[in-house]
Amino acid sequence: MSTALALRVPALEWCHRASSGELDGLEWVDIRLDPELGPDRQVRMSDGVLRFRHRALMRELPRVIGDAALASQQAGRPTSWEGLALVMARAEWLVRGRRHLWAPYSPAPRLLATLVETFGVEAPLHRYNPERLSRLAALLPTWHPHRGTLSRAREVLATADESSALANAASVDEIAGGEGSRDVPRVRDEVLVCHSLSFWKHRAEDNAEPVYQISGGLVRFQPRSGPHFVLRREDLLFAWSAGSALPHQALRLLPAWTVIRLSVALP
Amino acid sequence: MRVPPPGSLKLDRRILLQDVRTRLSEALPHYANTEDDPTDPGWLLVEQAAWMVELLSEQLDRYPFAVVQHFVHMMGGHLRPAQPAVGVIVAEVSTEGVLELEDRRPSPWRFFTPQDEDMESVEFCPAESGVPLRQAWFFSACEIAADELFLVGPTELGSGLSALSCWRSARRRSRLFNREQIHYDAVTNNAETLIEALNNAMALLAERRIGWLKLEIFQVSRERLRLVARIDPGGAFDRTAPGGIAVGGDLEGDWGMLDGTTWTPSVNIRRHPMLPSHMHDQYPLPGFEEGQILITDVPENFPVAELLERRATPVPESVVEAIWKTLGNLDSRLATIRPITRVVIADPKEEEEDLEPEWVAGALSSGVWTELARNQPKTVFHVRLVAPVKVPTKIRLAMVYEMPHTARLPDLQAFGIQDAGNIDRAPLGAEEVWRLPLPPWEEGQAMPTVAAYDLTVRPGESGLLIATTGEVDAALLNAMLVINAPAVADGRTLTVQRNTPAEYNLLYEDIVDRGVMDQLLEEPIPGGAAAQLRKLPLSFFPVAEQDAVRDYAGVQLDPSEGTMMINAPDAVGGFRPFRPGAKVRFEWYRRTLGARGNRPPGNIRLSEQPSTIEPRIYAVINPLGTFFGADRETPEAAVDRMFGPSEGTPVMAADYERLVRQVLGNRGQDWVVRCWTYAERALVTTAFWPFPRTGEEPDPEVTRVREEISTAGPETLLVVLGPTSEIIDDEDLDWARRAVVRLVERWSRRMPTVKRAIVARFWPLRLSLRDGRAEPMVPTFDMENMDGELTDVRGRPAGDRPRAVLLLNAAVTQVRREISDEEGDL
Repeated sequence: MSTALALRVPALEWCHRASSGELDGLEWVDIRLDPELGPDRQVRMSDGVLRFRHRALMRELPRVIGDAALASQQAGRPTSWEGLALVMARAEWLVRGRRHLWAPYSPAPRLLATLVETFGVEAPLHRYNPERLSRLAALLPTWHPHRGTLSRAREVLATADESSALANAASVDEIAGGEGSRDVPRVRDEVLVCHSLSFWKHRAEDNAEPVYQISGGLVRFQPRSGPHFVLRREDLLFAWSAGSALPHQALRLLPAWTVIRLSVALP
Repeated sequence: MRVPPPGSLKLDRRILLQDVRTRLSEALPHYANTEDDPTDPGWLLVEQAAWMVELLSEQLDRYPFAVVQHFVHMMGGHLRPAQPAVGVIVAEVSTEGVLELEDRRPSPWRFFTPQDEDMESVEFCPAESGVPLRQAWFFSACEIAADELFLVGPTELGSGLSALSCWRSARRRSRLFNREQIHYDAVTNNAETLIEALNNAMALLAERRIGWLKLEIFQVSRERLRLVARIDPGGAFDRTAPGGIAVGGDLEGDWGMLDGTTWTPSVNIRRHPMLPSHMHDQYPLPGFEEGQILITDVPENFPVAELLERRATPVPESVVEAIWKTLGNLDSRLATIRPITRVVIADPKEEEEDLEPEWVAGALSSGVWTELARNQPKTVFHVRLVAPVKVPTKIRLAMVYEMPHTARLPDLQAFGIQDAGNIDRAPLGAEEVWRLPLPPWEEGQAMPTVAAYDLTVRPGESGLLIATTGEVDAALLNAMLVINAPAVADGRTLTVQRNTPAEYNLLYEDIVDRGVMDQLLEEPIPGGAAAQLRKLPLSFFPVAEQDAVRDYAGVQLDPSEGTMMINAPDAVGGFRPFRPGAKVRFEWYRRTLGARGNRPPGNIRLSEQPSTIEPRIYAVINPLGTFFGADRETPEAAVDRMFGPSEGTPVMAADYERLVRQVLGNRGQDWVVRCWTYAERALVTTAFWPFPRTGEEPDPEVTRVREEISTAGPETLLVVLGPTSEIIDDEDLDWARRAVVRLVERWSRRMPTVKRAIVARFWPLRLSLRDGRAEPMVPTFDMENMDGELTDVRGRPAGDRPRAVLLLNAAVTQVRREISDEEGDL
């Protein structure tokens, strides 16, 4: 936030201070009735106190009443207009500050949890951390329309300080060296995982037969040459070692139809 | 459970006034401690304002939903109205004719589902005009594949409605060609000499050892002789197995060739119970000498006539010529004779078990067989009419293809069959009228496409051959597009009082207007069917001494509410002014039952019509389910749609969860909705609640879900749902299951990557934690590093807790911390 008061947005400033408990009571209300003073401002008063001014009431009153009230205030006598300004102040600023509640710079960052969860980023990723929530909320408008790819999921994970979650994963496009490339290298060290026969049938080239080999406690099955079991567009190759766990929270950032295929190493 | 929304912004006027007094006392210090002065008008004003602020601040959060709704409506937003279901029926008629609809009257033909204790009767009406309805029925269905003829139709003749639909069944090889005969008819003034020549040639032919060919001579009349040739594979063993019984071991057969051709019948060993299974369908081996075949290990006493089975393919034309040419070579007296040649399928000696086609002989003699045998495999349906037509007549036929409606449908060939069985080689005209995707018979299958054609039959023809390539499931006769948009005969007359906008109630909600039809046509309904639906008249309101109001043109209609506003522009800006005194008669309009119109196959069974109308429909049935019906949008779903995150295409599990929440609406407002993807289910260690204790039977419902998941692939979502504080009851679960399955089905039409949903019950759990332990975020399905005791809302504790990472059907929704002096939910 800029330190220059004139550069700060008064409503946002008020929201932040109100949510941090600085603005209890009505000490923060600027009740000067001078109609020359503009509305919706924050002013550092001569006593060093920051005050907020909402509506210029005097501009909306008949001149004779306004003059009388102003004269009374300047003479040190409280007026009912000051009372009205005080009564209305909190409601006015609450209304003005509403639009900032759901912004990345929200004064109540915990609210953003609802927002990011609605878009699919779950609690184990944001962990109700205000900074994380703020960054994630800022990422939403650009990420959500393009969600579903591995690279976009990594963006979210990096924003949530979880960059390592999908570091060992590679999509078909990444393995092929670019989107749309048809030259997908063979997967040599894929680990056999139980799927239905139709699953493997959809991935088998003509006459592809598995060649089983047990190494390091894992069964590998991809033949070294000839027809093999190809990677499909929905497949995600994950470099996995025995004993390590899949980052299942990160999987929720991928399309619902994603299939994880495990390999000892990425090609 | 999500983070609760921000608390109410209600301001308390007493606190507010106290703060005001404190602040004002800066100028007048004594003001702070004095009592309120009820005579002080200034303070009175402040008190009034504080009361107003309190009131308004409270309402700030409770802004009436109806106002928002109305405001949105003013801006053009509205609830999506209910849309009617569309389907296909076949109609059996007692009087033929063309079904025509009129703009001014509702359809006189009405179709219903029967009412039962669960479901009211649902009415459908024709959605297209000009449908020819004929008395006709299917007789057989065949497939020509790999030059062979197979039977793919029913095994016995149906009657009535069942004969109007011909569904493909298991493929069986036709035995029709076992009865194939070639007739050589020769006219001579010296029959005796010709018989002698034929006998001589046949005796010489026997030495050529062409065992598979049987020849017989018949004297039809004094001048007319007929040589009948037929293929008999069993005849090959006449010499080697005299008496027709094999002696056991290897068996040779005479398999010589005719002159000028290398053709011999294509045969394989029959699937006979006396033969070992490894011999079934095997081809005979070449014999030790040329012109012989060898079959090894034939069982002793096996009847050789049943050893070989001929492939179901006709004798080629070249062989028909070669038979006579060979005889001519053997006896030169025959070489100069040019007999009339005819291929005949003889009548069966005994009643056949299967429905063999009747059209093959006609097709072979007319050359249509050659046309049919192109682009194999090809399915051929045979349709019979009740009598030969006298003038060119249209027949409505629909094919059910196992392919998406967006694909290029296979070509359809149709040939007319004369009353005598001859087939005209010139194909009949076939015009595609519409095509429509409809729900499949089995869940999880792609939606088949029904394509309707109008075929024009020529005078004198009494049957049809319809041939098509591609994967065809069925053919339907008298198929008609129907829609769940029955007409309401209102009959009230409105006398306009003022020339300002005025709203009037129709008799029903969920009215069908152009907007509803446009909404329906946003579904994947192809152009032909869409054109028919666009032409459907929707309402007729005659106005005294003026043009009638048709289809709500120039008036405003709220189809969901069933209200019509006159003297207000319609949705496209058309305006029809009504002056005071004008009389508008609400003659008829259409309504719909929305999603309740989606009926399963065979559910539309009743029809109604005036007694004098033609065509006269005797019975109807819907061979496929009706579809595309949808209920009116709930207000909550409308808010989610208009103000929620951009809808777009669901990609992640969270997108599906949001869609599920939308369809659940208010009823599932505080429920947990969790979609589990294949990646999570397949590769993460998961478990289901409850965990059975050792020796205890697992929960049968959990067992069922577990079994379903075990065979479900990446295209299946597991959706778990239910309230956070109690267990969802069976009724709610059934309702939610239907809603979710329908949702996923709807989306699968646009995006087939997720096609199916398994819906399971959610179990809310309570976790009791010891003091000092970290509290998990709720709800949590994650059991990793979870300490404490788990119990469900029925107080059932966890049994033998498995080492699972994720609980699929349960989550901790409450955490109870066990504190020494105080206990309570946190």
